[in-house]
Amino acid sequence: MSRKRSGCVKGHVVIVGLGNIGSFTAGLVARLPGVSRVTLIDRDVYEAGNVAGQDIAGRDAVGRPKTSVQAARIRRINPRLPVLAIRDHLENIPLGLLRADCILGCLDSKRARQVLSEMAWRMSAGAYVDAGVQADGLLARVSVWIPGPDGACLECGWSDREYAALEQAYPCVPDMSIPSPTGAPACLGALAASLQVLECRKVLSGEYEPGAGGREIILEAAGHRAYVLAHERNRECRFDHVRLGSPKTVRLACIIGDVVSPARGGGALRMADGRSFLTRLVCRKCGRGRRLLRLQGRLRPGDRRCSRCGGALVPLGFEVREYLDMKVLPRRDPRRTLRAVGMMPGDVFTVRGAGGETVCEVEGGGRDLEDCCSVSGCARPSCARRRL
Amino acid sequence: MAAFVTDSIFGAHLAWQFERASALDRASDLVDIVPAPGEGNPPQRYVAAFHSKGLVSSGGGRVTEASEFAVGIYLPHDYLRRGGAALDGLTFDVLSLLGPVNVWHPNVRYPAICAGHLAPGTAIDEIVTQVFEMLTYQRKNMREDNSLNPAAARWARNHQDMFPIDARPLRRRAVNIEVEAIAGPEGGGA
Repeated sequence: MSRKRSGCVKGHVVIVGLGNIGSFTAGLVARLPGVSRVTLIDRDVYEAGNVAGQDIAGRDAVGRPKTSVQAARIRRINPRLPVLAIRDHLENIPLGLLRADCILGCLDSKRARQVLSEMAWRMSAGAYVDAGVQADGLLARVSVWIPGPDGACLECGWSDREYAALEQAYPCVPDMSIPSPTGAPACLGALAASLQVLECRKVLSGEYEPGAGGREIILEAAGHRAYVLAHERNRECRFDHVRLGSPKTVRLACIIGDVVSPARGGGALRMADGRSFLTRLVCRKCGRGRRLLRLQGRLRPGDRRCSRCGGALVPLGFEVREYLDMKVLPRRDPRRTLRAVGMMPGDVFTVRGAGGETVCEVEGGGRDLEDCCSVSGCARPSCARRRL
Repeated sequence: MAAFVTDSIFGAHLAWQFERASALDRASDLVDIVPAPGEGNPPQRYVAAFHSKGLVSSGGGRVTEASEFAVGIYLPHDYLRRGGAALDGLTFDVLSLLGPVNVWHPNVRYPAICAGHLAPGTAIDEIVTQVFEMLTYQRKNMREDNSLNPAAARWARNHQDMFPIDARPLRRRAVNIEVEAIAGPEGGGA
């Protein structure tokens, strides 16, 4: 890579998950030369039980969002490094915020890894470096995936068994789907984090070719053994390996009908992250339905109350739409703005029509969000999210 | 709808699901499975109309029998990879109760139906069978801490002698047989 030859190492690094591994990763990335920007993503707060297994200074961090704690720490280590801290579910993050040279996954759930891998692929990230630990046998693992024309993805090596073992997708009580802690000691998390950041360093300095096969490094600390595995693209992989091209920038105030104009060959709009549009809410109490058009995961509190009986309105899964087809949308829907259907700065979507497919990104992603404490509900007056 | 399905692997899966749904529809007189109106070919959405007995709450704490239930089934574009997802943490996308709204079952709370763990790519006839077994109380969950309707779970624990509400198997078809009397040896009817 030219960067390697020129010796110019600059890159945007995204760290997802700030627990047993990610809390160590954050500090190491802050010390990595040439990192130009860091984005931190985690939805949780530190709890008292985390002090023993995670890299936090002490009781002061307990009760505070993991993203805020680690962002402050990175600023102390490297005050000139811009940090964007986003406290939200991974699925809710606008895809444009994950346009990165290296995405570091420090997650404890298979499902979350799958989501992050897909995001990395869609945004053609320089690399997705996933780290994991297993307390039994003191295993530390790092996997490197390079999105590219023939590159392998996380799912290329998955069999039916891996898919069947995905976390409970249908819990009768939603909170029960939260994975249990790994119980790994802090030193094992630190080992995985060190391996992960070393691979990140290689990625940023161009030692991995674009589209290179996947690589997995496993250290079994209990038995003093190391393994390196190579992964090839699986032609029957369930993931489509689609990478998006360069986006056209659009504004939140744009009218859907203008963005998806049939005159410009447009016909249908689809979110690049696979998120659906909710078109109907129903009242759990009285059964009354209410039509709306809102992006999945972006309902407002006011959307959730039945105007007749005050009961809770919930989405009807049967009537979600994967794309907005201008031919079948009710007349008023194409006149709505992107903001009105719940889009945010950084959201990426594709417009498909007779003229082919165009990638669009809502402008402002990341630019106005410095120091933002939450993508979906920031209270800072200067934050773009506040206006949503 | 299916016109936007460009993934050939998923397209083939949908076509196979259509075959399986049609086969179950033919094999059972207790359920009709038809593609939702306006669906393309192969469809992603189906409506399953059950003609079996189940329970509804009729207000004032009364629980009564009902014999018609409609359930919507939607196979999202990433169904082969994740099986389904929670929508805003409240309901699920693959299965939706369409009516009646007052179905009384621990795993049903309008419009959500909790079918337990659906592995990615679970076939549509298996899903329909699971829902049938739930609605007829051939399958029941009496754990209040893992149910959509804890009151129904409590109620089910105290009324186990009533179950199943409908013991007929899903894969059966009523046939009209004309029975003709055959003269016996003494000239009487058979």
